[in-house]
Amino acid sequence: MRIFNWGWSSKNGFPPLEIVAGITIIVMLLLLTAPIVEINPLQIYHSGGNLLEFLSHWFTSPDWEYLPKLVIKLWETIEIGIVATALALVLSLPLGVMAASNTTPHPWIYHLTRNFLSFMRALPELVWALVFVSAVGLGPLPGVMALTFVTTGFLSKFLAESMEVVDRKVTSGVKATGAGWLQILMFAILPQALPDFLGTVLYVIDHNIRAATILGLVGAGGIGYELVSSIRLFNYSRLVLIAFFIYLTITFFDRLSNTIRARVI
Amino acid sequence: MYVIELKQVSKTYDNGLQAIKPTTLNIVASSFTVILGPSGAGKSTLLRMVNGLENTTSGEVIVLGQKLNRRNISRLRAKAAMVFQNFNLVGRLNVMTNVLIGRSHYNPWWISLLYLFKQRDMEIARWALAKVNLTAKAWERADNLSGGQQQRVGIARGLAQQPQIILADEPVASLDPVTSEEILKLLQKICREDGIAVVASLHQVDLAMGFADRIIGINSGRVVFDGTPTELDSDRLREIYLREDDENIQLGLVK
Repeated sequence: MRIFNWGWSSKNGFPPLEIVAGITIIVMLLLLTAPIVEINPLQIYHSGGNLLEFLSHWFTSPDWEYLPKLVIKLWETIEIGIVATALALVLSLPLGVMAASNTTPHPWIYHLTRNFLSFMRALPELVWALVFVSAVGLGPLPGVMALTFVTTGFLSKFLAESMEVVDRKVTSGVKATGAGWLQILMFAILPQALPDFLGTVLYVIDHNIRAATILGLVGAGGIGYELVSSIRLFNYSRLVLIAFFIYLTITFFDRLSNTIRARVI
Repeated sequence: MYVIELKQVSKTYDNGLQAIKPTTLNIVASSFTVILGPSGAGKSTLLRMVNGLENTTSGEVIVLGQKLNRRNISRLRAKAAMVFQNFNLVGRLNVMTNVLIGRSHYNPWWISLLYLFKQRDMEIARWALAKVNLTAKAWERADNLSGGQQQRVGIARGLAQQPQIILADEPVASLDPVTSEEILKLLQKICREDGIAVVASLHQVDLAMGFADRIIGINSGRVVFDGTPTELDSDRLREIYLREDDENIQLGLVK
């Protein structure tokens, strides 16, 4: 098959099966699923007016008297995100080691840990927050617990996977000196897996602060409760302030993690 | 006295490939032995079996008079240091730490959690680095070094183990000719000065002739030649590099 001056580098000149299959599958999926989730271009077009009306409310003067309370709640949000990440980081080190096929002490422990980790990740933070709110009551504690839970599941799995793909040559180099299991882990596997893992941790801090902004929705502390009640009460002069400060916070941590990542890796 | 004794050792991989046919071999203390053979002949497998990185299917591997088993494997590994074609250093750690890893067996497991090392071990590591002439690079990251330097770090790590044997698996296969000769001279010096037996697998016949006390030729998992470099004439070489499918390819190599 020739298309102008280009061609595919296969024996019969046809495009590789992977590309044909890939494009076919994507197009088929879009065509099949769009009606189910009711993606209707016309509806989107006609709702434009409503959207504009909603956006017009945002051009109000902010309620500056609300600022001190906002800052306190925002600080609480950041704390929830950071504390949860730190706790998850500590928990994920042993769990990750148990969940990696090349470092696990026993295949049973490997399967058990893997199952436990997917259980932790099975539900979103918000659902876990609901569970913990009913267990320990309102406030930031259930928020921290929910975030820690999901983050531990995620970080452990990621650490395990980074450890599984380390260069085996390096591992055999250390093993050949007569090093024991923990020494192989510390000297050969962790140094190779950590830079990658650290990048994930930085991303997770970022993600957790964003997640913490929504936890207040179910009474698990942070700015989320303020955000939702302002929307419900059509209190746009507060909403503008909350949205802007959330944006500032998220951007700040995004930049921060990019800077740190660039230095470490 | 023999430092390595192989008694009817064989190795069959899970896919049915018999990498080593039953082989009996002894290596004398403080000797320099070179293993020659075409790619896939089983040179690596043989060396890795001595260090216990590869299991044997049958036969006995005896290192320093002791039969290799699960209990003594890490002690015997420390005494039979391994040097690799791709150096197998931990690239992100500095040279000194890489050399200190060679002391692992002699240290309790928990101090590695804190990356702590004994002062005495650091002395040994400094001695090893001086021996391979890399003292100046001690605090650089291992992956910043050139190939020849990285291989010298690999050898220093081996020396830090205070071994009686160095098993070098194609130590110069990824190095240029001049550096290759330097590395082999270094291994020879270590062999002579410290009385460490060196067993190296090589691809280059000329290097084998120049450095070996004894050459072992392997073809398809079988020892086909065992003797001094002077005994290795072109007929014997042809036998080592003989390939069942097309021997002309290898005949070109050996004239």
